[in-house]
Amino acid sequence: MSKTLRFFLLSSVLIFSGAATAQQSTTNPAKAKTYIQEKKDTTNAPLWQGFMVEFDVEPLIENVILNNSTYNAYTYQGNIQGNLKNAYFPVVELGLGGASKSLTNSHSYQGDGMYGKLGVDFNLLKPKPGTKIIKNYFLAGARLGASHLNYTIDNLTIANDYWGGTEDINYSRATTKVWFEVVAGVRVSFFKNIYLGWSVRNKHLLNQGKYGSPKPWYIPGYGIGNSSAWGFSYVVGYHF
Amino acid sequence: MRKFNLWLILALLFGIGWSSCSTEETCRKSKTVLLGAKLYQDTLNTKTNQYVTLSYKADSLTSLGVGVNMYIYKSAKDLSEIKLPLDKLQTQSRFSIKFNEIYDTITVVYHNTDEYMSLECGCVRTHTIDTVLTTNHIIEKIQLSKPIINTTYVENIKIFLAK
Repeated sequence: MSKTLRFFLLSSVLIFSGAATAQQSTTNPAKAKTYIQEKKDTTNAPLWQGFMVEFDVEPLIENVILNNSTYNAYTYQGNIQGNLKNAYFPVVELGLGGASKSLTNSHSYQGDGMYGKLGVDFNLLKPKPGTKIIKNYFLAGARLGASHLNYTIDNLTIANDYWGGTEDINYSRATTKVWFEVVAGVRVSFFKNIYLGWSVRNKHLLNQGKYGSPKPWYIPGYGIGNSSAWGFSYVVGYHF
Repeated sequence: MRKFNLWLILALLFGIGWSSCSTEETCRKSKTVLLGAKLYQDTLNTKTNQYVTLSYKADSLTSLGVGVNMYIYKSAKDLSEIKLPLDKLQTQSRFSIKFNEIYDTITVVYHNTDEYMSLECGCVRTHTIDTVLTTNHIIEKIQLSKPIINTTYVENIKIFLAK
């Protein structure tokens, strides 16, 4: 985990230094025309700045790396994010996902479902009044997510070691899980209206279920974790 | 283009690092469910001339499930408590217990509950004791302390031995 944290910090520094370099280079008159900028005073920016449609490609990368004969997961997620005064970004995220897993002790899990999230991000990069707006954002915000899924857990064996015999238990359930997320990430204008970005999410499950009752191993949109989970997304977006 | 490559490499490495955090497959929780029984005997306090209940240590204790050809304890010495596995596929278990060459039979009647732990650990079957019956050759009485038997070991019954 500490390695991941180190890498996150390192990548943040590198990405922000890249963004800063891009910002500095726009002040060079010779190169200024190569960057898309709005030459407006931020204090006079209109409320509606358009909206962004984004697709999360991180699950696709993760699927290639992690999927194998015993573990298989998929997620397709997109979102629509409004832009209000380049400061507030209300967002709706929709997706579907599922996972199957087989363990060496013969336990197996299979589940699929859909999910949605509502929330808002805030741009923490505040340009001073009178300066040019650079369309790079450092966003922090929150989400409220809900997922409805159907899942089965098979071959849970009750071993009766002393008295002899075994019994297999299988569960088939439908459930709805609700959670909230704290999100932080960046969006950088890559080419014209195309944006790239990543975000890190800390998720907290609000309805964990009764103690001892079966729980889904994987919750679409939330991931794996009984009470909290971390998530990472890497998005490609287009600004309309 | 160089900036794009840097982004892609960073994102890939970050994704790999992040994903590698959650590949735990080992169950680290206890799944052992045993009935806990402690031995007691009423002893006369000669100063107060009253009986007090004291913990009892059996010189020799043998125990096995009725119908099972496997000992749980075999001539175990200086035991003051025993742990007995209930039949998880039934709602009644009978144990033959020998204290210092005298046999008694304990019958435990219970109902079962399945508790899901996790995908890695699976399920554990816990029990709630309804009744405990005993023959009275050396065991005087049995008192129910805590009826729920789960992975946390507690004293579920008190076995009082005759003086």
